[in-house]
Amino acid sequence: MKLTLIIDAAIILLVSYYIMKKRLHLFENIFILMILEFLVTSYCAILYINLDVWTIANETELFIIFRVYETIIYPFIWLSYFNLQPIFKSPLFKWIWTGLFVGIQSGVERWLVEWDVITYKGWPFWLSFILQTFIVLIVHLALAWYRNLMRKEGIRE
Amino acid sequence: MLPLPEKFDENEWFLLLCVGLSYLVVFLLPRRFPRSLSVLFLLIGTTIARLSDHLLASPKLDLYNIMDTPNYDLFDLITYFLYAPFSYLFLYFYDKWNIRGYWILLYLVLCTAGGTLFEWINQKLGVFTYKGWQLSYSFSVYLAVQCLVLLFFHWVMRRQPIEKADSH
Repeated sequence: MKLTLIIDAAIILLVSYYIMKKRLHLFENIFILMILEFLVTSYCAILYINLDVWTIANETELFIIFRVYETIIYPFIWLSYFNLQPIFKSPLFKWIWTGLFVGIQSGVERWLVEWDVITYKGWPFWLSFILQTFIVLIVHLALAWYRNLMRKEGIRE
Repeated sequence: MLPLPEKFDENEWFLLLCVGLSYLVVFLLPRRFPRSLSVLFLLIGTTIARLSDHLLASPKLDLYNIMDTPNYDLFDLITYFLYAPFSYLFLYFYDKWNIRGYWILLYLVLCTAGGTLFEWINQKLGVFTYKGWQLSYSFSVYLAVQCLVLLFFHWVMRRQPIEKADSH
């Protein structure tokens, strides 16, 4: 049941992303997706393999849920955030928007903890907020660099 | 967070040498694609490698180790820098030699064989330690991944609005 729900959620997220009016250039979307896939798999590996502060469930169903989360749900939530963020002109609203998505990402992680997909071993939940903020900051910086490159080449205004 | 190697020996030296040489080749070759596209062609190799290693070599499945330990260590991270020039060069020569028709198949098979041979050398030098994985699986994985990379290349090239920087 849990696996079905998470797969349905992933499909709905993918379809929503597909039909969403993209505010970013296609190349920016691809760039962000690749950066996010690299970042999420790296930080999860560091947390549950190197530091051993997370345990991922051994049960096959729960393990697949974690993989779906890592490779689809997590990056596509952030991709949606980046594509919708340009709607807001005021920096205050941009910050609120960022805070909302940091909350959503941390909420999804918390949900996986409730489902016993992830078990914290001395990992305080507030650190997840900081980690999400740090990740979104890195992606913003990478995107700014890439956007500058595209501007120089005349691909983007 | 990212542990250092247990012993700095041949696999670390080999990896550093390959990374240095491959980036040197990338930077010395005449520019063929706009930089924004080159970044994507570099990243696609790294991302696919990272995803497949994460799915195949992390706990639960754990079919092979990368470098000295089962952990995600600093030199594991450096191996991903090596995939980037490989995917770039694969697409660079595909475009430069204007490979079409059945030649695509030959190019794919040759590059896959080259990739598998390179992996065999890596395995002999301790970059990879198989724990249930076999080299023959890698051939199939490389073949599939290179097909995906070519599809990605054509998809992106159809959408790029500017002329190639250099058409040597």
